Parts: sequence; structure tokens; C-alpha cells
Amino acid sequence: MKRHLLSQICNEWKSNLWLIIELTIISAILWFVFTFLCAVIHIRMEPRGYDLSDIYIGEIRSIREDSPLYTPYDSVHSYRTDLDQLFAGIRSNPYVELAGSGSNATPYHYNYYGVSFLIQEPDTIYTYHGNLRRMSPEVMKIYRLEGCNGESSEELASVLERGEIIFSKVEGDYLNSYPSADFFKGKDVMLSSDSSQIYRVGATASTLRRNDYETTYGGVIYAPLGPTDFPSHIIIRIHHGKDKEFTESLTAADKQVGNVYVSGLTPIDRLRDAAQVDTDITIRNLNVCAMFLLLVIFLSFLGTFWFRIQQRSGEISIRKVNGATHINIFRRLISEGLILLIIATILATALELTVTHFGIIDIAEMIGTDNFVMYESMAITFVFMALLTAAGIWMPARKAMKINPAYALKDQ
Amino acid sequence: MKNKLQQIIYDMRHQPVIAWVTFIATAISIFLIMVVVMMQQVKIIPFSPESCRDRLLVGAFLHTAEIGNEGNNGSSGLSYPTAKKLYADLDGIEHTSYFGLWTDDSDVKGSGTEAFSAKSRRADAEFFKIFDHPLIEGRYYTKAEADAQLPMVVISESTARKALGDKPWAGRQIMIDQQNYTVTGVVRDNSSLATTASGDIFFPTGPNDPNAAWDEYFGSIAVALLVKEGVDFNHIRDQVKVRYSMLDSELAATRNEKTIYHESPFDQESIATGLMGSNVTPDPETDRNIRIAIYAIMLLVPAINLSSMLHSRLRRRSEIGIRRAFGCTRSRIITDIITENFLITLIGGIVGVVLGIIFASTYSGLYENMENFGRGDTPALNAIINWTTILTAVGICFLLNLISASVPAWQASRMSPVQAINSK
Repeated sequence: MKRHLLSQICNEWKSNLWLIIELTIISAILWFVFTFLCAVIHIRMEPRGYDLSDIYIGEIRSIREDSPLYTPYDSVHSYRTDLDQLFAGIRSNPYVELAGSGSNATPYHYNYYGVSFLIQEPDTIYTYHGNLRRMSPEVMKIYRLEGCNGESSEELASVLERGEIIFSKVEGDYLNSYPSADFFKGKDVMLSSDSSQIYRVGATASTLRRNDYETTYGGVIYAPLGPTDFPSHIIIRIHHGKDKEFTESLTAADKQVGNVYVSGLTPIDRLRDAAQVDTDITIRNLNVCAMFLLLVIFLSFLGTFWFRIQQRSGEISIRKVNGATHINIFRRLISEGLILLIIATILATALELTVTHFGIIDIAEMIGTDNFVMYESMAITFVFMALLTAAGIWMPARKAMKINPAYALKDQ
Repeated sequence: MKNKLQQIIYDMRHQPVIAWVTFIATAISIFLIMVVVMMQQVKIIPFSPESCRDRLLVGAFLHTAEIGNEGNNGSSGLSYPTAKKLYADLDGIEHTSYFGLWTDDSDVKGSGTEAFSAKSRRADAEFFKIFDHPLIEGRYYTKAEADAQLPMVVISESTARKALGDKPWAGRQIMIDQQNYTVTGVVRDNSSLATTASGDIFFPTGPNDPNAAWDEYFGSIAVALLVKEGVDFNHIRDQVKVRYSMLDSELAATRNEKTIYHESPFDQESIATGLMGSNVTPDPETDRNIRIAIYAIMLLVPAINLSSMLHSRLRRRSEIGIRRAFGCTRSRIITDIITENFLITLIGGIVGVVLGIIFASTYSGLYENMENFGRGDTPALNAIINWTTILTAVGICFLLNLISASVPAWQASRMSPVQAINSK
């Protein structure tokens, strides 16, 4: 039976060749698309080590002295006292769990404040390079940041309270060129080559990324805000599910005290959508591309097998006369499609491996993960294509099942 | 032609499934290609307020590195003095404007109205000579006023209406980021798809703008250059390269640094890549290659599919055999099949283009980026329907037809009359 099927495929070699070429090309393109999408899913599913739900972020701004709204300060009050009062007000809001502040302390914001910390020994210099994020200790608890060695966010907050700094895990290109973050733990490090600025690394923690897709360029340095630093952002964690109540409860007086005010308080989900719009659009475009190609496969099998069944109605009738059941006919046609798909998949896999081997498309660079994703996407491609092949043959095959031998063979 | 249409209609009625498959595959393929074409068109072709895109160059960013230790490098926008050193008084330039490349979110409040957020941009007086922001009321601020950093603004019509209510708006006070400004002029609303020139509020900027400089060399300024008719962009770039080498000498002497040149000033195709970083050379060629690959996939894959089906369909047409038997030439058969197929492709293509235009003019998600996220702006129809898109559409239909029909037509013309009549 199977051998006959193969001979039949060979007999129809011209139209089958078209199909195989088409399937091979589509298979290769889909593999590329799925590799990217799988890599994105893997990156998204990696444990982050922090929790950004129920967070609002706003800018802290101040009114300049030349503004008509500026309130002159006496000897007791200052921008700092206004800021403290503003935070006290927000913390007293019943829907607010925690409120903190920081500079370059928020995710989904493309600032990068690159600094290097060094440990100089007589014959070696150990360097840690990363994005400097300054924040009040509460921010550790707001993000629910996890320590690399099981420290809770409360413990990390107390590290910042002591005036020490925290290094994050090193990622990306810097992984092999710098010592691990844990190497620096408990040691005093110097900011660049300024020997007057010495800090103790109190802990190591997860990496707060700029977006959900990129790896960091180096690590992240969490440092406390200095006594004279004026923060650029307010970061608030509200009680779960209380968004509406929180936004309705905030009055203009809550958002402004004296010469300090909060501008553009936005839920973090919206900041994330805005910051990641480019990557999200790429993902959407690839999804559309995959759907289009799968639709083409469906139409292709539908059209080709429709003709084939019209041409082979005599042969199908003879099979029926000789005792073939409806299911036999149906299964035979589906098998024919799947055999063509397997041949195309073998050719496509060879093509994909060649492309990867010679580095024509650098998968590792493209996805930033290991080759497992590549093989995984090969399997996913085959499954999707098999499903659409079966769907495309379904209608012609059902038509074939219903062929009445008496009509089909009346001219014979 | 009448015969061909009859033949198509007969074929479609006789083979409805195949006719629909051909039609749908063509329409979807053309639809997707046209959407990609139109997305790119919106980034490239001139429309208000960037009607000058054909003659526009934008100088942006400075990237410097320590001499001998390039790992130690920094990049950002330009300070006003650096922008002048690199781009002022170039030969072949009609107007030079110093402005902010990106917009900011500003809090706007009129008398007795709720505060709302609007996009603000820093721009000097020349900005309004390069970009067309037609005035509805009042006037633009002058160079002298901008240089003096007077608290004046030009705002868009909808911002004026929202903050100040009814006309007249010019001369009234408006509060932006807790500062008082006088509205000097109100301009027509503009599309955020014009990423270089759009904005709701335009603040004056100039050599004395305290918010435009981080230090002596870096700041938030970019330069728009309106190139004179007929002047080659390379002529401008060559002059800028000379300016860069002068800046190199200055930096070497004062800071032991040098510049890293990224092909600035950028033309519209480079701007369309998004100018993603101040330390990156825009790469429009890669973008172009990706688009060509997309067109190729969208064309080739359905073409193979359609070709295979046309091949099967032609095998069943005994009329070809009869015509051959009566002396019809092979070339005539090939031409007829290709013409007939072109008509089917064209019908599918027209449906695809119409769907594409409806989609591209209503779905704002196609054009979203960080700058205009959430604004929901879609392009005006004249930005997506023009001779380029129409000719592209017809060209793509013809190409799709040629790829899909030529091999089956050639094969059909080689069929022996006996075989063709027998296959009925």
C-alpha cells in the first residue's frame, strides 16, 4: 500500500515538485519566524527576579524661581521639605502600599547611566560595568527585587539604607569578560578612577532591565540617593486591583506641595507598551507573516488536491468498487500530503542547518539564547505545516469519499 | 478582450474552488505587499508639515571617544555651540534650523481648565520656514524673540481650543509645565507621523536656551537643513566632514578626545530607520533589504502556488489543442494565457489594493513608535495613494502574473494537440 503510494507520488512528479519546492521555501521561512518568536517567548518566560505589577510611575518636577507660581521659601522650608511632604501625603493614601523615588530607577525607560567600579590590586584591576540606578530603599520593596543569594527585598532595602550599593548579575556580552557580581560582594569598590569615592557592595540582586526583551549591557548598580540628590521619578505600588480607586482618590493637592509636583503619573503597563512598541510591532509583523504563509499552504493543498481528485476520480472509484472504505480513501490522500511535507521538511532542515552552519543567518546573535530554540522551532514548524496540510486536503478528501463509482465510471 | 473575459468567467464558473483560491491568494498577497509599501511611504514621502522631505537633511548627535581608549566613549544630542560649529552657514543650504529632535510631554493648563498632557518641541524661528505649519491665528516668534528666550509659544489649534476655549487665542496666556507663556501664534493641527516636525507646542530655542545644553559639547539640539534645489546631498556631507575634522582637532587639544562620525546629516530614508541611538550609524540599506526580502516572499510563495494550479488547470483545456491543430502559434497561446491570467491577477490585485488602502488609512498600529505611541494618528489618504503606490501595485500584479503564468503557459504551448484534446 505504502509502496504504491510512493509510486503514485512519483507518477505525479511534476505537480508534486511544485508543491515540494513551495513547502521547502515556506518551511525555511517559517522556521526563521518561529525561531525568533520562540526566543522571544523564552526570554519573556525567564524568571525576572522582580515583580512590576500594580506599579505607577510619575515624574517629579519643580517650579522654577522665575515662574509666577513659585512660592518663595523661608529659612525652614525648601524643595526638600516640599518633596518630603508630598511623599508623606501620597503614603497616607489608603490605596498606596509603598512609595519611593529614584533617578534612572525605572524600567521601560531608555536612559543608560554607564559607570565602572574597580578593585585595584597591585597586579590586577577588577572591573564591574553597569547602569547606575539611584533609588530610595523603598523601591527595592516596591519592585519586590530578589537577591541572588535568596535575600528578600526587605534585606536589600536595608543594604541601601546602610549606604551600601548592590550589584546585579552580569548578563549579555559582558558575561565572560568581567568577574561575577558575587566576586565583589562584601568588598569596597572605587567609582571609575576616583579614589575619593569608595562604596561597599552589600549584596547582589536580580537585574532590572530597561525592557523585557533586551539583556543588559553589563550589569545594574543599585545605589542609594545621596542626601542632596533630587529624584526624577516617583514610584508607587498600590494595593492589588485598586487602580480605579487610587486614580480617583488622588487630588491635585496630593500631586503638588509648594514648588514640587508630580507629572504624568502612569501605570507601568502603559509605559511598558510604549517602550516596547518597536519589538511588539516586529512580533506582530512576524505573526502576520507566519499566518499568511500557513494560509498559502492551506490554499495550495486545497487547490492542488481538488484537481487531483477530479483527475483521479476513475482510480478512486475502482478502489471503492474493490472494497476500499471511505476512511481508506481519506487516509490515503492525507498520507500523500504528509509524505510530500516530510520530503520538504528534510530538504528545509538541510537548508536551515547549512544556513546556520555557515553563519549566513547568525541565530545565536539574533536570539541571544542557545541552539535549543532552533531545534524547537523546527518541530513547531513541522507541526503547524502538518496541521495546515491536513486542513487543506480535508475538503478535497471528503469530496473523494463521496464519489459514486457508478457515475465516475460510466464512460469507461 | 471580450473573448478573454468570457473565457475567465466560464473558467470561474466551471472551477469555482480554484477560481476562489487563485483570487484569494492574489488579493492577500497584494494586500500585504501594499501595506508594507504604504507603511514605508508614510515614512518617506513629503506631506504636511514635512512637505520638504525631498530636500531635508537632519544633523543630529555627537559621539566622542577618548583617544587611544575608544571603549571610553559617550554620545548624545548636540549643544547649540557644537551644532553651529558643525552645521552653520554651509554652502547649498537655504535655511538652517536648530530644534529638538524629540518631543517632550508637557503639562498644559489654560485659565480655568483641567491640566492635560501635550507634545512639546523646542524650535527656533527658522524651523517654521523649513516645515509648513500654517498659521491660523497670530504669528510665529521671531529670531530675536527666540534668542532672548522670551516666554512665547506657538501651539496647535486643538491645544488652543482645549486650553483656552474659543477664539481669539493669540496674545493670551497659557501655563505649560507651571510656567506662564504668551501664545504668539496658533498653527493647524499636525500629524504625529511627521516625526521630525510634529508637535502640539513649540517653545523658542536658541543660543541662550538653558534647557538645551548638558555641557559645552552635548545637549538636546539637532539641526534641520533645507537644501537648495538641485544641490547634491553629498556636497553638504563633504562640508560637514571637514567641520568634523576641525572639531576633532579642538577636542584633541582640550579633552584628549575625538569624534566618531555616523554619516550625519541624515536624509529622509535614514531618518525613517528611527535614528535609534546617538552612537549608531543609521542603516537604511538593511531596512531596504529586509523589505525586498518581504516582497520576494510575499510574491514568490503565492506565485509558486498559483503556477502549480494554473498548470493543472491548463492541462484540462482541450481548446488549446484545438487552436494548435488549426494553426495557432505557440507564442500566441503563451500571450493569450498570460493576458488572461493577468486579468484575474488584476481583479485580485484591485481588491487587495483597496483593502490595503482601507487598512493603512484606518489602523494606526501600523505606524506606532515610541514617539507617537497612543496618539492613534493615521495618514491622510494623499500620503498613501499616489503615483508611486499605484504604479507599484500594477507592477506587482504584473510581476506576480509573469512569475506564476509564464512556465505553465510555456508548457501548455508545448502540449501536443492530441494530448490536449485527450485530457478533456
